[in-house]
Amino acid sequence: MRYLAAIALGRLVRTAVRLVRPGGGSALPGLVLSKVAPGILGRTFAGFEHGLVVITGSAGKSTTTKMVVAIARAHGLEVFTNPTTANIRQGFYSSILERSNLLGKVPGNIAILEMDEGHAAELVTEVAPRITAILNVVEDQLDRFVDPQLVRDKLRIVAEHTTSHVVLNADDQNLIAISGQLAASVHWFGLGDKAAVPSLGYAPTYTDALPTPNCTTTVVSLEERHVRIACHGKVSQFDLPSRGLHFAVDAAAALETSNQLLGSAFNIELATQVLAQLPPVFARGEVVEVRGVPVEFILVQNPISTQLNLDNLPKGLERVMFAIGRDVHDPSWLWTVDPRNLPPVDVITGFNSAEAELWLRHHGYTPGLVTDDLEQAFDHWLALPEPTNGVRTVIFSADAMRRIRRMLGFTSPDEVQR
Amino acid sequence: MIIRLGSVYGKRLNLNGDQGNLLALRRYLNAAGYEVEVVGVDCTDVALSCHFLLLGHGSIAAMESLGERLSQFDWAEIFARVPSLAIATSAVWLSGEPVEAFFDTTDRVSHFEVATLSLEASGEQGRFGIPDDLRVLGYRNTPNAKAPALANPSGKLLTTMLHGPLLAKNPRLLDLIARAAVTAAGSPAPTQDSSGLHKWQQTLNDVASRIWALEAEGASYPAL
Repeated sequence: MRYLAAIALGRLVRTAVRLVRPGGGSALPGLVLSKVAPGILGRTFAGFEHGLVVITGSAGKSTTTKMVVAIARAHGLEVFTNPTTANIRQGFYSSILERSNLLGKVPGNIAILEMDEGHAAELVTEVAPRITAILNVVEDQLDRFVDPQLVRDKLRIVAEHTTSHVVLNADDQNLIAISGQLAASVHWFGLGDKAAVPSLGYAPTYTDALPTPNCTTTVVSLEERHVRIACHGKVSQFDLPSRGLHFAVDAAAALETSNQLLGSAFNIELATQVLAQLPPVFARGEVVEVRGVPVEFILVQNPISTQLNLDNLPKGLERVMFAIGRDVHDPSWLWTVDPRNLPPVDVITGFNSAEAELWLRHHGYTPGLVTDDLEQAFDHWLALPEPTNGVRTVIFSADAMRRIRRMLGFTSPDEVQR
Repeated sequence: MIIRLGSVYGKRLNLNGDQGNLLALRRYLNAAGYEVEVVGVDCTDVALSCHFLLLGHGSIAAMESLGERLSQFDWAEIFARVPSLAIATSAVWLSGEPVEAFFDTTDRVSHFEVATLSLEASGEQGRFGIPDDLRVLGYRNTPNAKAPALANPSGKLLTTMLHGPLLAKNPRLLDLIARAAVTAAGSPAPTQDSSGLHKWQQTLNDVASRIWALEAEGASYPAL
């Protein structure tokens, strides 16, 4: 009963926001709830029968979380999780608001949450996770985190507060460095082919390499989207929902985490079946029909995800739009990315379109249209002649993605096709 | 005459895209008709063979790994002869201050900023011919708002707390640095009758002016 008024107020705000902006508005109601009932978060997360699973790190959180959630549900668990756009504190409040009854009770016997690395370090001091998966440390959001080592320090806090199992990436020296003297048992995933590790862009430590731990889950091979992963002596093979080696690593992380979560109940065949049918997390290789035209959406969030996504673009792409929004506070990091695999760009748009244009012009690109008006950009781009392969490509940052999706009327994060 | 642009441990000192300054300089000089090469710099001799040097911002790990090697350079000799730009942690290291202080995030500043050359933190000589009223725009991400955004502490060394592709966003500063590099190389100065340079300048001015207009609201300098 203590949260009845707070939940009612939060829902009222949510309804009002959605009336004004369909498809948006997860932040404000969460903010309101966090102010009027701050204790509901800890109480909710501590109340799940099978505890809290946290998936964090610089890159790959959304994909890995979606995989673990799907595997857990297929094994019969009732999972509470957060949408990919709500991985910070107020987003968790919004998720509670979304899923709880009026008394603040959230259905489910386990919480599996994607957590922003900065917010995770704070939240675990309130509620200790039973299991934590830490995916990597990359040079990301430096306007927030300043330095990769400071991110590593935050992730160390998360690992130290975990009670049972910590799942770590064996190819990231930052994570090997934080693995010592943890109370929880440590489990490792990684690549079988270590020659490919540098392409994943983990933040260098510039010290003598620590020995790579033995992995219980390993990416054995990846051809196009077909991946083979060895997990505790058994092989899982399936087509990934999205292109790129980093998605194969995410899948390995998901399998190892699921194994620790489910214990003897873990069924690798069932998990494989689940992963084979999983749609991409939105904008990670998602192809959507827009006004009858197939469009592939590719999200770029930091230097390494941009580099990996550009490197994995198929040859001969035509009709490319590049959109960098307000979420990129300091676009300087674009200049660490080598865009040589990016085909000619027809349109540059978003709040930071001029910054993106400056970067691309220095690399010899001459964009057709540059405008911060997303709607104008989209209309212009759709009116351009059809590409040879029939599919247009949008590469965008998170803010531009949200605005474009809202503009197109895609209001649910789950509206994703494989 | 080839203009040699030196990148001091460029792979490690590029956390925020600072090496983009060399790309901006190279493109500018190419447009002006100069042949340019970019070389990696790991000792004094190579540094002295360059006509411009860049020391970018490095991470905690990068700076710890490079401290001893950077100590081997004869910086006084280098900055007496070679026009140079040092950014954020590199500038802090060169000043002799502890780099760790740079990462004290208790009083951090993280915003776009418009600044002029700090006369207080600059010597009387050199300055690349930078006028006192030249304004530059860049992104500051430091713990100390009082650290001068742009200074000429000694010889031909320019330091800045504004990271990323500073020169690309500031065509006038780029032009001044390019001229300093050309002078250091003993080459004739660029002329405005180069149609390639004129066209590239127009492009840069156009794009940079839009960035300035965009970031004006958030910048600390009020009189834009």
